[in-house]
Amino acid sequence: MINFSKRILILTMIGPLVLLLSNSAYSKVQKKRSRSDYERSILSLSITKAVPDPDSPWAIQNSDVAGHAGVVVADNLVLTQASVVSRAVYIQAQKVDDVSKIPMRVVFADYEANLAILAPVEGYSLGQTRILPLGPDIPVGSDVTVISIENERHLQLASMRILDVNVREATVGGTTVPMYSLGGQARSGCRSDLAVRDGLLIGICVGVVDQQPQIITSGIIAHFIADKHSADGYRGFGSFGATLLPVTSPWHRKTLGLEDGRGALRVAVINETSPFADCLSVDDVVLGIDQINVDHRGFFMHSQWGAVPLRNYIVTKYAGDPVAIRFQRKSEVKTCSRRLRRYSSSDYLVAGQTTEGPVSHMIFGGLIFRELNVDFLTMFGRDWQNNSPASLLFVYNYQNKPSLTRRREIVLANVLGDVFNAGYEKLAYLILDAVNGKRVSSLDEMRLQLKSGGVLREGMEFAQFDFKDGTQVVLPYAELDETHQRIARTYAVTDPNSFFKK
Amino acid sequence: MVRCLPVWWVCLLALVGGQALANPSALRRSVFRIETISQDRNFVNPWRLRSPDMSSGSGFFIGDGRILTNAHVVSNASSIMVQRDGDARKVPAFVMYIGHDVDLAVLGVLDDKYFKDVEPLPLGSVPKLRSPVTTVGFPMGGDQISMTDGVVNRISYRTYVHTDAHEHLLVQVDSAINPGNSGGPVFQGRQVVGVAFQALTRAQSAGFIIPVPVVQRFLNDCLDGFYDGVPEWGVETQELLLNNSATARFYRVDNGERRGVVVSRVHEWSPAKGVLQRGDVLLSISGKKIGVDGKISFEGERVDFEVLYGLRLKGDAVRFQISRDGAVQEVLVKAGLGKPHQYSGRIYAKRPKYTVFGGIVFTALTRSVMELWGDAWEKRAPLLLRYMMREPFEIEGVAEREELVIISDVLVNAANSFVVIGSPVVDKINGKTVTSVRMVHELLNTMVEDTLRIDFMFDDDPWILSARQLRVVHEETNQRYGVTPTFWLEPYSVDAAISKDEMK
Repeated sequence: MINFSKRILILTMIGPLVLLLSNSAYSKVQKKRSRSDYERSILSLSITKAVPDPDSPWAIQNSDVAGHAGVVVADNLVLTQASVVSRAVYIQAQKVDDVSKIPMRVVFADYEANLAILAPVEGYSLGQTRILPLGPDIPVGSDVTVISIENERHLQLASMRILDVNVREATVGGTTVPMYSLGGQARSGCRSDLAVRDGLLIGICVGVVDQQPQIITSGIIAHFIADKHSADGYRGFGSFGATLLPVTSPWHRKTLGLEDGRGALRVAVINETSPFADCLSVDDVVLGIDQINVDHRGFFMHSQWGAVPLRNYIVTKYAGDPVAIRFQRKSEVKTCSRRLRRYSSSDYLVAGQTTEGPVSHMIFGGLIFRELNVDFLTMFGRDWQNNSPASLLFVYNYQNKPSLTRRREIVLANVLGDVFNAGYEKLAYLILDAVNGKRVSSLDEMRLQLKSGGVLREGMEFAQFDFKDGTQVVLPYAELDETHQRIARTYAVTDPNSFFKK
Repeated sequence: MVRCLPVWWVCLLALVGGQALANPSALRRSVFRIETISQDRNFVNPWRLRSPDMSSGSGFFIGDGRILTNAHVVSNASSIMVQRDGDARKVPAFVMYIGHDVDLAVLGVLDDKYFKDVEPLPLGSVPKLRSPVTTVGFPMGGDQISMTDGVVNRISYRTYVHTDAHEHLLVQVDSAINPGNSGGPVFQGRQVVGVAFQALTRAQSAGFIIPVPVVQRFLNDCLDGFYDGVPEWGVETQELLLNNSATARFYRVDNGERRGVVVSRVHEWSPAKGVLQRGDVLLSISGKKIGVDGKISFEGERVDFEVLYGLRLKGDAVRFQISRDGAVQEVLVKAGLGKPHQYSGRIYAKRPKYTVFGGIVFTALTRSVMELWGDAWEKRAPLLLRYMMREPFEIEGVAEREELVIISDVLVNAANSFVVIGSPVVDKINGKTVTSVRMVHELLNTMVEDTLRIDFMFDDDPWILSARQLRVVHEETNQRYGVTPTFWLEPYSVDAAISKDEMK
């Protein structure tokens, strides 16, 4: 069997060749292909997940089985979306013309880029399959075919057209990548559906926005695969760590010394996690990156997509790649070269989804505390951006900055009612401000603070929790162990590590 | 979720016979039909009015040439006509006093002789649970008076939907609701025990009446010729904590009596600021014990203790017994008016506050602005605005502002054509933190800088414009877009309803 790296190497050698061939005299109309052309390349994936119960984070919800699509990108290697295999406990692959189901495992996944590679578990093989080569990035207006798996057994082909290219998050809180927006007859959901053209893989669908399927481009897939193959190990996608905005006001341009119509992007925000944090400041104007110049809208000319935002250039870089910025500060042009840092949603105040392991939480006298992250917010359903409590959404949307110390907000998720916590049983979704008078920025800090001793009053030691809305909870340390034992029995809290221990 | 009907759909209930209404033929002469032509304000272009709308309600004579009705019956009125039962004449009326916070208004007519031979209806008291009542008025669909029987089935403390921001005592009755009869009297015997005013949309036969204590407080408030409004409290409390014996020990109170609520926050604007503090336990108000659930005994029922505070007049001293660090003491809170409902309540004013400069329209963020996103604005409006509306004091830098200023529109001209509204909430103008529309107006009209810089809250993309160009296009833009007046800075207490002076 060829090892993973070798197989990827072959693939990455083929990719640019395909790209070069395709770029010459590119036709936006695709050649007619039939379903059978893809039946050996696109597999049905049956994925069983064990997802933590949002209300009882120590427990697993009923296991959920869902069908998705995967595509053979190398011998015995299947590409799919990472989010469909996160927390998977059992994965099977099946060719549409074969009754046998092959047990699979996740070989590698980048959950923030939302891409994953699967392979059969030891001792199994996919048998005869056909590798679907990666195609090039293709122009807006091109026709593509979107293939989904219907009833786990049939390929469903739909003709669609690329309407636009936008940079979007590959998953909630994930890294931003260019995506095609497709027009045509969209399914209600399109996760893991595959976009193909002329027998080549053009992209993978990660969701639908405004009824338009969003497709991660083949360029990003090639980047992901090649990075995994690199001698240094997987580096991930680079992050610039700053918000750059075009300057549309002529008067604003004048105040920034841009009267001559030069292209530029104003630095609106520079995160402390940015590799450029020590050389860029707010209101500097970025003129270009490496050999790329930006126009007055902040766009650059992409070989296939025409004028697109500069972020499309950054995402072609790997974490650790050097990037040189030319910028202007008070009419003086400067340069600054730094290596890109890997994007990580864990840097943010509201971290991205956890993809494995238990959901971190802590129970104190029936009060369940959790870190505010995307897992927590998405427990409010598919429409969580509207249905989550506004106070939590506000943090996610307006206070969600990355930091080097990886701070977190702690939320009182709910209360397991007990005589011990009587009077507090209706509290939920409150953001913690301080524990025993001190601010905490992680569950670990909170445990330490609770262990360091509480507030003494009337000869009793109390734990005092102050929340940002003014709510205060005070509960005694005494009888905590007995209370936890009782709560564990009553609410079937099976993991003793769920409880705070002094 | 059960919602209350929009106030203009509220109706009056009438009972026929029984003990609820004594001598109906005599009492009906004191009940009036009220026809109103009103024009809502345009909160995007505040110098404009929306199309006129005609509606009707009810009211009743309370003596001294006064008709009592609901505020929502006559809000934003450009014309009010009243008509007595059995009389074909319609007489023009004007608003003497209006209390949007309690949804009550007093009307007068120019013809002093109009009320000759009309008996004022006496006010009674809070009706008892399960006692019969009769609601009387003029439901839409006919000119005849209507009477409906009902029974009192709840006395509680809830939001009055006219502003959707104020909570007061109210009485729920099980009578059917028909549109258009708001403001009519609800009788028990010969006495009025309430004013019909709102209903539930998803519950059959659930109407609400404003009980006499709220009505009487409103009338008392008007005695000095000016309606001040219901005092604001501005104190948040945690109920039920003191059911927990350990928590009671922490706050050093004896929980054997099961009474007291814990103060969790005292807002900066609260009249209780400096008197009460976080962690105080409120044990009683005006001598009435406050239960651990925050309820007091009132007229034979258990209602929220804030009811008693809300029935006081501005300047009244309200006595609380509190426990602070275990020491029981008496404190006095001087009932006063706050500012929070400039943010959260519907606005009824001559015009919203606004100023226009170089085509940029600045106005205040109010509940009425939010309703541009419809009744479901709490789901549909941008998160930033709805959070600022609902929890303004949770956001750093908001509490100290008199109001939040937004850019509601840009009247496009050569000096502003490139701007894009992102977050519309203005944070600073030329580096100065904006606290009111008036301040924006003054800053813009006195600035000497060549550059106008507008920074927005939670947005990193400021507007940088040429102040000189904006001044050049200012007049022409106002003419082209019909902006007149170019600013309006009167406080919201200048009411929209038609006054006696305007009738002359």
